[in-house]
Amino acid sequence: MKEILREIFPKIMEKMFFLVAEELEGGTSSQRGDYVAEIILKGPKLLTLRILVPRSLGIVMFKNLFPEEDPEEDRLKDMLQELANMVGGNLISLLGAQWQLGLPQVYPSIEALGFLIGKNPILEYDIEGETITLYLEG
Amino acid sequence: MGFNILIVDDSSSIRRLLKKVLELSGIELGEVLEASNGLEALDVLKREWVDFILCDIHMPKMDGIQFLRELKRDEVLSRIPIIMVSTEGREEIVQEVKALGIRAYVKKPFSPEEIREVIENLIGEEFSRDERDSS
Repeated sequence: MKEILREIFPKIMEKMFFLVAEELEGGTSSQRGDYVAEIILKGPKLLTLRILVPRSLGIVMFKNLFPEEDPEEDRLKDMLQELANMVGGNLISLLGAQWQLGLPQVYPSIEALGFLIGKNPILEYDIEGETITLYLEG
Repeated sequence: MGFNILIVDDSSSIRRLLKKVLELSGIELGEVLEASNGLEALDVLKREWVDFILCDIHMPKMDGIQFLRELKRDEVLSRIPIIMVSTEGREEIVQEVKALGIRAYVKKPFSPEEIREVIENLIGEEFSRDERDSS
């Protein structure tokens, strides 16, 4: 699962958001972020994929997609939902027919970090000096 | 008169992105309409004629596959060319939507060039078909 995520995540960041994601070997365990984009994968077991994103990186992603728009909160969250959808969708595409994709959600700030206390990231990436962290639970 | 296009996706980011790609593509556009799921899209199609549809698969209320089945039941609506744009890459699902008559499939994440190329090919095919039909 980690290898599949390792294969797809940087591709999505590059193709959709024009950003290079460099894997942080060993991780930072900093758990810094303002939003958690979450999607549930239903299959032989129930998995929850969560992506912890700092707001400043969310804004960079947003501006790369929509340079002429203001990164309003609702639009930023919608974009992060779509990020979770793309990562989850591409993940189950490689996992097989028995998997189903849930609908993505985005949780803000403190509420979001509550999900992640004590959890170990599956992957962490440096993107333009910011850390984006992926968790897979289940 | 330009092409009227319906974009069906539950993500407003994707709808706005596809709209922007269409606007920058040089394709002569009429109205670009939006719906956030299959049910809303059917509602739009009761009021408006569109030349083609860009449609996601995974959506709440009515997903893209149910939407295609609904269109297929209608003699007029079933003629509208559809391009699916989805994260879905499983072969059995892709084959299912192809069997429901879609004209092209674009996997997310997509580049603006991929979308533009698929739409230009589709428009090219439709034009040549119209010309053949009228001659």
